[in-house]
Amino acid sequence: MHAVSVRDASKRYGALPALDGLNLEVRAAEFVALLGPSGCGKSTLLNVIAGLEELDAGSVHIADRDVTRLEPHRRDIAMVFQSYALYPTMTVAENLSFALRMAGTPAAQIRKRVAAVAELLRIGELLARRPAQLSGGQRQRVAIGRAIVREAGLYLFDEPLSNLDANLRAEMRQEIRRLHQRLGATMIYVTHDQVEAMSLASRIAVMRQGRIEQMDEPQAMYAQPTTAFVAGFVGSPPMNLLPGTLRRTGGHVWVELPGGPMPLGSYRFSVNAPDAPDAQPVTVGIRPEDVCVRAGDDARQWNAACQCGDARAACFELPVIAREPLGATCIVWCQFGTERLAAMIDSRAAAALPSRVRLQLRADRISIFCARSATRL
Amino acid sequence: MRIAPKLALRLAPKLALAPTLLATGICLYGCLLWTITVSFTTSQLLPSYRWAGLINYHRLFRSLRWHTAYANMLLFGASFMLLSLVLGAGLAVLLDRKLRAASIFRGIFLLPMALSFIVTGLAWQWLLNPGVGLQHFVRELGWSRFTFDWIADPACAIFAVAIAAAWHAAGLVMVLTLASLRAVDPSIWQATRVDGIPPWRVYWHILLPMARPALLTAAVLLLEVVIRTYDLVIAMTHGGPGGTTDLPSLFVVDFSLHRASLGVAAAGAVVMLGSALAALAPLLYLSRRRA
Amino acid sequence: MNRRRFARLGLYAFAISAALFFLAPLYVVLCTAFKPPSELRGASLLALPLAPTWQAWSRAWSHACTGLACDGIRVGFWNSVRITLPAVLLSVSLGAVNGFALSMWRLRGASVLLGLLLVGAFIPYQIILYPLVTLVAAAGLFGTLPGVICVHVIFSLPILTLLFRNFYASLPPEIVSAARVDGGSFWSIFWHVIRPLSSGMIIVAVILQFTGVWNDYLFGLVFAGREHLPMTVQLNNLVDRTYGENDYSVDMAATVLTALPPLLIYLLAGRYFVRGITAAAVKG
Repeated sequence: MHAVSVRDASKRYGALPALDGLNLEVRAAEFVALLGPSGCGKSTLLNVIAGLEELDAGSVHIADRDVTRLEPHRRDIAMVFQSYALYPTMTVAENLSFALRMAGTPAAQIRKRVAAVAELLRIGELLARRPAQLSGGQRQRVAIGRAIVREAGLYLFDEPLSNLDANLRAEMRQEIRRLHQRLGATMIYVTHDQVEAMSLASRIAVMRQGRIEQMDEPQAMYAQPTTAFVAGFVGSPPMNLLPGTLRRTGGHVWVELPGGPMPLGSYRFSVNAPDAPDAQPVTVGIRPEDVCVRAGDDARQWNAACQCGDARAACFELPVIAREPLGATCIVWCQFGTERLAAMIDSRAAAALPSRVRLQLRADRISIFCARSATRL
Repeated sequence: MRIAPKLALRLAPKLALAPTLLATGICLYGCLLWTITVSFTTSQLLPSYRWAGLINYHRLFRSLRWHTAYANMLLFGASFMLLSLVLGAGLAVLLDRKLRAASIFRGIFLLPMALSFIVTGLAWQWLLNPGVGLQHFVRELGWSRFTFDWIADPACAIFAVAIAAAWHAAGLVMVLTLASLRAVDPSIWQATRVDGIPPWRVYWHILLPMARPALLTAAVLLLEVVIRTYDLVIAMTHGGPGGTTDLPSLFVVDFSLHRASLGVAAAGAVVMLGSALAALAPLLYLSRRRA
Repeated sequence: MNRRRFARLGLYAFAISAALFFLAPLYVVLCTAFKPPSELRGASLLALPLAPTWQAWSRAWSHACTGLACDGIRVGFWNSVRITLPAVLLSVSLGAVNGFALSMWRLRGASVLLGLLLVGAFIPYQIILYPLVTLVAAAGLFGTLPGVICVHVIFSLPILTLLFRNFYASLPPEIVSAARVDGGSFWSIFWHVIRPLSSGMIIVAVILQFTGVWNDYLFGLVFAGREHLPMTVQLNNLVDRTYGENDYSVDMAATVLTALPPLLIYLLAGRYFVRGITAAAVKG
């Protein structure tokens, strides 16, 4: 199983930078997801690691070998494509064994490996069919099988599930997770779907405009996003991002929000954040499920965020302007000064919600970002 | 949604189509039926409508000229189609490889299609003329034992005609195959690069099989050329030497217009048609099956 | 890297040899047409002319003997023009109207008709030559210019109709519905709405038809009559002389002249040519 290292990678398409001095380290047997919106460069990065595209500057190392100038088939990699790229005139068995046959692998070994892969992916009874006779999910499994049968040191996935419908995607996610556990292989997985990234990856690299904004374990990234972009991108429903001003008066630090002030006594500033000057514009982020909802004077708790009600939390009384039922939960939209604030509550409780609610924002659950540089403070 | 038109509007397209329908019906199908009918009559110089059973077919199959012509057609057909398909597919693969000046090459390969078969036949006749053409030229260069007198050799003349015909038709096969090659999902190429499969194998195992429908279409069109070939032979060899490049189409034209044997000519025409259908059927079956 | 370079060289070698193969006959013809008579005796046809001259060309054009007359092949040229231009005009117009009628107006049996047309396009002329002659003669058109033009038009209708029908089938049918709501009739819709949209296909059809009719031999030979023989027939007669010395340069000059019009169109509008062939071939 190979470790991958990309150093100072740069690539331009005409005037547009696709990769901008990017650095990436992937450990052996790790599952790394490259996550980002379209145009962020994640597919380009994958193609560069695969050797399908060349870098203008920088290098790619696989298993401590500099492969920057090597052709794809010399890098000991296998790839699964978004459109599956199955050979239409061959049967599934022929598709799986084609690369091995061309490489001159002995027939007995080919048969053994194909059988093992077919069993692993449960496509055994499809071996005699042609791709046109398979469903989308089956084709995807054959595409994965074709990659696995080569027993490479690194597996690359280019948005393999985006052509499937939602139910199938959930099922295939399980398959891929199971595969990674079984094979223990190094896998790099490109996707624009953060649910996929969160559920599959041991580490996620969020990309934007050719750079990696943050690379971290899913839960860490979820709880402590390091930039406003990552904060807004990861997590569904998305984090509330509110404009505010950071104030220092006397010995206290607090932030002015659209709906009122909020003390920051329990907020943990990051070590790297310079001593914030007074009246610094910031962006404050809080996830809908971290907003504590109370109704009037009723001390009843409406969601789990309200574990402890105390002076450390700021309370705001706000009108409810919209409700968004999502099945198990319900998003409640409130008018927060000039902004809208979303809070997540149980669906069953949503029915009894009054028109004005009290919201509690806790300083230890928020994220503060410098408004100019978008980095975490 | 199309609204139901009024009567005048409904008649107009039918009226527009009427002349074509009439013309096709009478001139093409009517004449076809006429020919089939005449093949069973006693027509000689002029058509008569006396039933004569299969006597024309007997005369046809006893004619040495017909047998030679038919055998020539089979030889010509097989070699022409094989050569055109292989050359056309090869040229398509060549142009798919992204050469410099590819459009110039493509222009050259398609040039023959703009030419008449008369021009093609004459040009090739001169080129292959042993006395002043290619053979003479190569001998002048020093290879004094070089021979390429196929066009004058009764055993090989038909193949010389096949080469000239393939020269004309390879471009068509190339265009059809190239369109199919270009329409391939680019991620298939990427997959073969990752799997380390050399390009020629990609063409042989993957892309040319994928181009089967295009090649079948080309084969059907080539078959049509085989049946229709007339001008090329007239210009290139006149059916010689010694009748070795005679074809059924020449036979039919000759017998109907010059030999005063309409019945036999009609019989020949019917056999030609039947052979064409017999050859077409498996091709069409193959193309339907793939669909 | 070396293997790749080798493969590249091999490809170019193949490409160049193929190009030579495809150019060789034309090279011979063009080359010899420029040779003065002195260079023709004994020398091979493939040698380049040492003293190129236009002599053969002017002889071929104005003085060569094609059959009984010796007025050069220009007679055939003008005949071909007089046959081809009307034939192209008529057949493309009819083909377009037919294609329009078949694709955008719901007609019972339209697909049957198309099938019949497709089969009709495949019938070799030689099979129905005699009855056709009889028909044309009965109409009093045998050996006349209108006669041969009509024959050309009739035989090209199937394929042109199919081409235009497929082309129009790719246009949104709503434009016809919209025009009908606006009060258009079949002909006015065709003229005002459809015709302007068809220019691409019309160019392709014109090129295809022009090439087909100009390069035809058999119909011209049989139906045009002695005064209207097209260039291809005259060329064959010219070369086919059983008397006189083989004046290759004149023969070749005449050949190039006959091939020139479609060739020029091909060189100038090659793109449409290719499109035409592909469109014609994909009809099935």
